[in-house]
Amino acid sequence: MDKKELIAQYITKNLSHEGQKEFDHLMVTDTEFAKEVTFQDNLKTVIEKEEHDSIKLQLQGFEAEENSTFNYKNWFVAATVVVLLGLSSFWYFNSSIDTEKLYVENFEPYRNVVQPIVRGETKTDLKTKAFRAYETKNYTEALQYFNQLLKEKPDETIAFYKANVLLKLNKTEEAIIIFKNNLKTPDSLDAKNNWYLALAYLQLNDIESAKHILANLNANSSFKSEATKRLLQQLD
Amino acid sequence: MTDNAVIKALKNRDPNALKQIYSNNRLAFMGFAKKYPITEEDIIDIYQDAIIALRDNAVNGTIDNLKSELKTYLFSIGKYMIYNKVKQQKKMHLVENPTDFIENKDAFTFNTNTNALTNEQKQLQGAFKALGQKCKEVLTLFYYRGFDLEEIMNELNYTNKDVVKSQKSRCIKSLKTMIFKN
Repeated sequence: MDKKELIAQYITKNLSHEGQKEFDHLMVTDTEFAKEVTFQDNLKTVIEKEEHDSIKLQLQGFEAEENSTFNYKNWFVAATVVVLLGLSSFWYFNSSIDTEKLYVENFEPYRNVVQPIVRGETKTDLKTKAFRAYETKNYTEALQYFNQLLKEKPDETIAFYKANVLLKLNKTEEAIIIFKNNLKTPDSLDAKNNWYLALAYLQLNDIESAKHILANLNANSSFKSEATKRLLQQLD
Repeated sequence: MTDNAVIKALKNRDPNALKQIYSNNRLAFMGFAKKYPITEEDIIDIYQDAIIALRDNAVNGTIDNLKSELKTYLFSIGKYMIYNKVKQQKKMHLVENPTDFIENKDAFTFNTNTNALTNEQKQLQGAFKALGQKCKEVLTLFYYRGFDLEEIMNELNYTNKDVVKSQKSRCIKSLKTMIFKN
């Protein structure tokens, strides 16, 4: 077979069995033939590379389009997010107040002054059970008993303790409702309700509300006066 | 478009088919590749190379009778390339052999073309770039797409095979002359 034709068939992968044998033979016996095959193999590699480079450019163009489509569609959302993040971090860093830390430092459930629990006593009334659970820090159990007590008869003092339990159980919003409700009617618990309400706002990172209540407390009551003053300073 | 239609369109160098396959599988591939320790830049690079390999095999007829879905095939190529990349970076000990997961091994030979060109090839590349458009077309049809003289004749509307043959010979002669001059 014509040598050129043989190489052409090799390049286009159309060599017959016989052709392959002839090709292999010439590769070892005919240096000119082998040289030509190397040249054409190289040319094939170069053309493949050219083709790949051109496709790669096209694909990179598609990629750029994908990104610009994204930008076009989402730049507003992205910009808004950036602005909001910027604002909130500005506010956050500017305030640099660790409200969670302040809350933890100051919050302690109000001591039981309602139902003294005497060790060894075996009273089984609901109130005793409730405050025994409260004192032994079984807050979930205490909550159930307080709920039962309140169901029997609304009582601001019991509600106040229930709100303390809620704070302890991280049900801050529910606690706030109770404190606020208690504060609608003036009584001896007001200062305490205010103190815990301020702490609840602190836990929710609502510094302004917390400060407002603490300022009020500082002006009208001596309850926790030192802690109130210190907190007000820390929040400023 | 069905997989077969896409393969056919890729064979015919339809840029829309290329774009379609690129866009349709891009996000899924990015998600798939994220579990490997490679950068997003590398993922995009590999994705593009996998598409090029897929197109190569569409053009040269390797996947004319593809048994799996085209997407599965593309992802297998991509996975293979990711494994190679990770192996290069030596970031991960591979328990699995990169080709173990490939069901259709016959259709899984592709030219990754990652090797740098030799000096001889670089010289030839310079010469090829300097050729006229007609020569580039004829040679690309022959060397890249594997067309025989008759197919080139039909593709480029030549009157007979001999014209194609002499055209091709002239082009190769030009290349050799250019190389010789250098």
